[in-house]
Amino acid sequence: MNGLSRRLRDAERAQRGSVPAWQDRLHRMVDRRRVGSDELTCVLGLPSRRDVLRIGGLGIAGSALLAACGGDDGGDARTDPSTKNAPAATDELDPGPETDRVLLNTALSLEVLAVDAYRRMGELGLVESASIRDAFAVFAAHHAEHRDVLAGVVQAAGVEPFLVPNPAVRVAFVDPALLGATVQGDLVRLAHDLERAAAQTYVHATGVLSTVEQRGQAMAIGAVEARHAAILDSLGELATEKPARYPTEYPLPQESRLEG
Amino acid sequence: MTASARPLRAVAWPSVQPVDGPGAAARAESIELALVAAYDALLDLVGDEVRPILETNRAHHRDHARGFADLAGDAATGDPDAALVESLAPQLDALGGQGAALAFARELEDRVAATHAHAITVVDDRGVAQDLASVLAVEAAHAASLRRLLGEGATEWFPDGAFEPTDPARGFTPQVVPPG
Repeated sequence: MNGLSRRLRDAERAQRGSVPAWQDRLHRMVDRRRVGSDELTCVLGLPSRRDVLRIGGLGIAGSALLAACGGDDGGDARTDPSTKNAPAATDELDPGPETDRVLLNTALSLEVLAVDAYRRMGELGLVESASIRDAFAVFAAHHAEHRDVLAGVVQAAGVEPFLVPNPAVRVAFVDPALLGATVQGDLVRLAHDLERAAAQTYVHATGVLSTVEQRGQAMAIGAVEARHAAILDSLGELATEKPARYPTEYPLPQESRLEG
Repeated sequence: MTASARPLRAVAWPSVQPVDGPGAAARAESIELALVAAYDALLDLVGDEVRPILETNRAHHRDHARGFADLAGDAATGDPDAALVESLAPQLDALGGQGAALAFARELEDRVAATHAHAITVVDDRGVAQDLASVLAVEAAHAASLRRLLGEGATEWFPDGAFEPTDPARGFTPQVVPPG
């Protein structure tokens, strides 16, 4: 575990060092006040907004991502008929050790992403409310704990822990949302959507993972992330829909799944 | 507390692990129905401003009970857990007003979340485990929302830290629901 702890520290340091450079490059590339969301999408080489994240069959690109890209053309993906019945961007996975490794490493990469996203949100200097600042700090600390536990689980499963923010979700969702954030509410929305997607990922995983131990670990984490989302919904007065159940399908694009 | 017009039956917490899917679903169904009954009582104690929140929670628990009954098949009872109802009734009767009612609802949600979190660690059926997970996430969210409603701060939101407790003692335990 000493080697793993060192790698966790190194990964965190590397992410801290790389982000400002990335932001600088991007800010040099585009003037976000003048560039429309479609152009920004094009510059970043992003997938279509509708393809970005699907939660319960609905694109959450319509919330944080549209706000992030600015210049919302009025099309709210949550009510857009063309996205309403979109199939989940996932194939059914056959349960087994290989699938366990895929799901666990993907979950790990989402935890790394969340830690990184909260740090970057803090650096933007947009958070004015002490409650939201406190929430972000607590949630980031939780994700760091989840990351460390999952890294151990992944290693125990015999594969290399993926200690990098999930590339597909970062590029398609988090980076543009952070780039376009101009007010505190943009960050709360981003955090909420990220938490909800993460929680749903664990709900999905519980129906696929091979062992009761893995399923128990997944939901010990997933339930807390559902709590995060609920608190953010309340703090940000987001008034999102409150269905009786979390959807069970994988909420993220297929590309976000990592190799086992 | 309004429980059920029908005679109540206790559902035993299975003592042998792992637990089979229908048994776990039946137990979850009976607990959810007990929560519906508890919310019936809590709704008498709150004002119009928060009533819709508790009504939504109650509707969710009713929905959860229906879903678990479907999974339980022949093992479903259709009744609230008798021992749990009996345990909650005097506590509900003693509640003094809206603040106490909300705090009690929060406690119920934390406990049912812990109950389902534990069940996921013992049930041998992936489908039932996923249904428990889908419900657990919503009930954990209920608890968190109630904590916000009660004016709790960040230091109080997560009494168990970064992980949902899976210890059965944190949920509705076999002591509350004795076998037999």
